[in-house]
Amino acid sequence: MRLGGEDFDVERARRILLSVHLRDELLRHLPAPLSIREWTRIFTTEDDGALSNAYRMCQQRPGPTILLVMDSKGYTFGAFLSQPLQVQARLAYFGTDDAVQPLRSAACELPEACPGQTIGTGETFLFRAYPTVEVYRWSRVNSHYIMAARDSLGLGGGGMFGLWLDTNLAYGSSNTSSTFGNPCLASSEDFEIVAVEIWGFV
Amino acid sequence: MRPPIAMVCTCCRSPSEARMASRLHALEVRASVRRSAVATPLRELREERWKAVAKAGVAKAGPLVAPAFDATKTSERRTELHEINEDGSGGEFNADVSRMRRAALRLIAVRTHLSRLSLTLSRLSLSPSFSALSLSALSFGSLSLTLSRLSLSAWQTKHCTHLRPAVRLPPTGHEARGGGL
Repeated sequence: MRLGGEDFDVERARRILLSVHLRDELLRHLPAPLSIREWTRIFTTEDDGALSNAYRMCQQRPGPTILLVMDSKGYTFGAFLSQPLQVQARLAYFGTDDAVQPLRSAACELPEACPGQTIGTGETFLFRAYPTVEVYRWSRVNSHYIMAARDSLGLGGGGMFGLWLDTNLAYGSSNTSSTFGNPCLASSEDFEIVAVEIWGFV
Repeated sequence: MRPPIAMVCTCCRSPSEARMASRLHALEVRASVRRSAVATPLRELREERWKAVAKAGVAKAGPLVAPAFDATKTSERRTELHEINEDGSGGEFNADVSRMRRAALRLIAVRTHLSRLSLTLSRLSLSPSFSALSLSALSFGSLSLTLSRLSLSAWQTKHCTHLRPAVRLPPTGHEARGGGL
């Protein structure tokens, strides 16, 4: 669904998590090539259901995406995923620090023996959109960006998940993660999900 | 409903630990879903939550009241970026595009020149003595073109790394027909 089209529905538009203000804030942190591309909604829990559908729809439109979540207290937060979501055959994190390989320090938990397990870039970040807009970039402590399992989606690691969503996209949790150095993004560590959106770029 | 125990690098330390933790968490959440919303379809559950959020007035301060995203804004921004001022000045993007366009035109001119040269040499190669010369010229032409491409790539890498995904030069007519030198 691309907004502003003829099928624009006011009632449904009220339930869109992405606002102009948030988009403008995020544009400041996104990679430059994405700043001139149009945004299109790939997935929403209103229409598309659960996590498995999110994976499927992201595979149909590969590229970087923005994940937005709103909890029952109205807190809105999410992540910029530098790579399209895809179920990992072997459970591991993807998204890497290839661009800054020399900066990898002893604090990084990934040994040299497994560089092939992670792909992508360190551009992934977590953010909170409401009540305040805050962006939590990669802290370079470890490379646990995204863990896309069939039954859950986890972002950030090295302690607790920065953001974790269940398979039904009904419940989630957020905690401090070493990967992004973020605090709890939601209203509480365990929260009820009201809506999830995934936006892509065309 | 607590998130799983400390996450580790699953590919090197203990793959089973993260998998186990994730599954345990999922099971825990599913149990919680069953407890809190027994036999409630997910769609209805979400609808109730939407209503609760709206009723609580969270939306008044939250993102729901903010103007919804308008794709035309992005188009406007794109227009701004492409816009060239009357005095010839423009943003960094415009300057880079202009430079790339000039470089591409120069490359096309070089290629055309080399093609004509090759054609001339081919015509001259009617006599066997010119064959070797013609082949050498063609090789030289290809080499020059390769060097031109390399220099353009190097220039792009140096000056336009952030624009490469966004700016893609259309193929020339020659390339579109699948031809080379």
